Amino acid sequence: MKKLVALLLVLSLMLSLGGIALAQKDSLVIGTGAEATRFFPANEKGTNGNDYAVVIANLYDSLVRMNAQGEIVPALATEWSVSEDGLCYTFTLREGVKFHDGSLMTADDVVFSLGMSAPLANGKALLINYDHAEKVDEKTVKVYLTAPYSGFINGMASRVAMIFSKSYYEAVGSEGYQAAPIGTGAYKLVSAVSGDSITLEAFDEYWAGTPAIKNVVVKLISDTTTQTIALENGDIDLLMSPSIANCMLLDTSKGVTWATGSSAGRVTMHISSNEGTPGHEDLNFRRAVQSAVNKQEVIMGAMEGYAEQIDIDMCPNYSGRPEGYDVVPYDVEKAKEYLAASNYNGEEFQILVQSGTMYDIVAQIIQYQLMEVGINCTVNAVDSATFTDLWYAGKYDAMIRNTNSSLLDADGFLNFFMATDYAPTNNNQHPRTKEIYDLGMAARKAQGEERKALYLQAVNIVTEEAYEVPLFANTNTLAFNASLNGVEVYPLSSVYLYGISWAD
Amino acid sequence: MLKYILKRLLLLIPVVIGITFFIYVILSAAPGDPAQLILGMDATEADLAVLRAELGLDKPVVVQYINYMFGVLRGNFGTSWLSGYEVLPEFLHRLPNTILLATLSMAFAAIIGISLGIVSAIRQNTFIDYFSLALAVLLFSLPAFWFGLMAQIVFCLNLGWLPAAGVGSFKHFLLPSLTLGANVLASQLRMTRTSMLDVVKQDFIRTARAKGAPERRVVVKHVLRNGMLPVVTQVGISYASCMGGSVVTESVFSIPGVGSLLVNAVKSRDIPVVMGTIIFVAVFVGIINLLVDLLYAWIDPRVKLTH
Repeated sequence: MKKLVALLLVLSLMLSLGGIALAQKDSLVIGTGAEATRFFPANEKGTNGNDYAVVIANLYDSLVRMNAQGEIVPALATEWSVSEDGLCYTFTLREGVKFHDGSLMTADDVVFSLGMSAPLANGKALLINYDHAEKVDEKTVKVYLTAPYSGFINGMASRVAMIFSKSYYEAVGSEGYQAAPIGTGAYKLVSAVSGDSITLEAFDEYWAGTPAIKNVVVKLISDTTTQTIALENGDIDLLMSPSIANCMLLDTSKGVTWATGSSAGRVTMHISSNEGTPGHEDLNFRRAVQSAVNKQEVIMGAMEGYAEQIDIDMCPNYSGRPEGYDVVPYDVEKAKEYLAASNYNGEEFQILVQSGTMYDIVAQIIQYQLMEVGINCTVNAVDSATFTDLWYAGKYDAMIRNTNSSLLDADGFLNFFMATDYAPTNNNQHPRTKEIYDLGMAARKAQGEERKALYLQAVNIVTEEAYEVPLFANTNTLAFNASLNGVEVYPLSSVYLYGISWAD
Repeated sequence: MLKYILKRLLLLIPVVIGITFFIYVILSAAPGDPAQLILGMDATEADLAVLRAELGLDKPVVVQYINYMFGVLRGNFGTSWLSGYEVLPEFLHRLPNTILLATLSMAFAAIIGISLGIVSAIRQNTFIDYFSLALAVLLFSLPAFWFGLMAQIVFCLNLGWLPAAGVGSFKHFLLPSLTLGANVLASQLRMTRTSMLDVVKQDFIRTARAKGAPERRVVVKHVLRNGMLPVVTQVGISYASCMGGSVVTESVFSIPGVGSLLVNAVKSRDIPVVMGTIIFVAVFVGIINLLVDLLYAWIDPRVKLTH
């Protein structure tokens, strides 16, 4: 009797193991700490990077797409050209592209989508100088600009340039679209349970072909340690944007791996020259800070060495980035000389930073470095809402943050010198802000080498005046089950599900 | 009795008004402009002004508060400024997770804590008494996030028995309720033991024993019934604190409950969500306290529910 039971047990075990091996795995569980809540790209309150990362990036397509290397490749448009004056972009649309409801995508949908997204706050920031779009014929759309803007094609690959269905929108409206979004993307939205998970399903009629992964669940896991455990445990297969420190702790013997890629963001320390700060009317003090920062030490300490040092506030992958700019090397002796020549008398020099982030660690390392040369440096680590408030109000001596350029364009560096148009830097009282702003605005209109030359002048002023200490280009990460193929790290922290499949 | 219940329920109104006004003023005074947080750094001053007017942020705080409360009276708890969802359905959708978590933790803590407390009181100064003392000290001093993390490493990663995060099955709730209940278990255990020992020394117990009642009857009928009074109060308070205090546990185990909703809303200055959640939690805690008082009177007929 005992033998019979044992035999039965062994048999059932073998059967169940065999069953697992036989079933072709076609589902994927993604873990993320950032919840997507808006699924309609032309939502009047806009969408953000969290909405885009998994959901919008896979539900919709834009006319052109940015690949993992940051290059612009065809998507809903098969080809495109720019007029000589840079004021008109002509796109040839892909034929036979279907929306999730089975209807065909047309030139009208393209004109309608762009026309609706461009005037929104997000649209104004990403589709810079957009004027209007025009349907030439069923497969050609022209997009006109008010003034040339060299980074415009990158904007056409961003989340605000996603194409949605005109007729569906007219039938259901913005709220209906949010509740049951349809796009031309490789995946359809099945359900979204706020605070818990979002479920996607493959779109079999996707223009590029049927996706390999049929079902995708995006699970919200806010605690970073729990994320790592869930990945090692097999609860999730892919983890969005884990920190480098957490990646280093991953136990690769459990069949998980991780990858890094260049990001759209760079980490920079901004030194204030507002009244009442040590940097006010004191170039020698600002230069002392500039020379005292050991960037390599910061990269080792905060990023385990997985980041590229930068000396201007632009990532190496930005289009339009100049070369041959001035670089101030790390030099403690020089820093001490500058400090001696400055008006500095041991006042507190406070670095503003968002608490609990990697930038908090960066600030602490720099604090130590500045104290070494005799600056009474402190760190003011606050929650994100307070951080934004203090930043916009200009209430800091120095501030460290990661700034993304969703366009991956040199133009992004101008954010901190937007003397007129934008709120954040109304409180930036650098005496040469206007000069930098004018150069940046001129560069927007210029093309090629002429454009780079203008940026070169602008970044050299920033370095000369020591308004900023650029630290490193940030690194994007993905951690995942080692049996997954085709996982690529994208500069905008998104994941392109169509390319992913399970190894046989 | 009915009058008493009604009176207690009516008393909830000033309590809710007090709490909500306090929270509203604090939130309004806290740094962080909701309009800027919603629109991001790309927004122009004009866009911000339009949104502020739309959200009513351009009015004085008291006016904002009164407008909000009038909305609540009409059953309109508003919509989330950040995500646009309606507060009431979102809260109701998350409430079951939190109630389940709090109830399971309480059940676990009360059953083990009270039984161990009774045994250690009866068997005072024996091995089991010392063991339960050590256990209580240990569970009481462990921070929830650390205990949760260790439990995850042992049960999810090393043994692979339980899922590390999320909801969906009873299995998902085992570790979180263990984590949330650990602290309560410790206090239940010590409270029961102390309270029982207090009663054991009373004259009426000596009388019961003197008249020859069997030990079992003395413990169950006399010691337990009298010793349970403070324990019941403790259970009620702990249950309420489990409801409001599940924030850490919910975030460690990624449970979409009320706690995580509240924390995220506070971080993003999403006032309608914070207010709605606070109102419900306040009312809920008030009702639980009322139930505890009713239970109290039922256990101990000497307690009169008149004042």
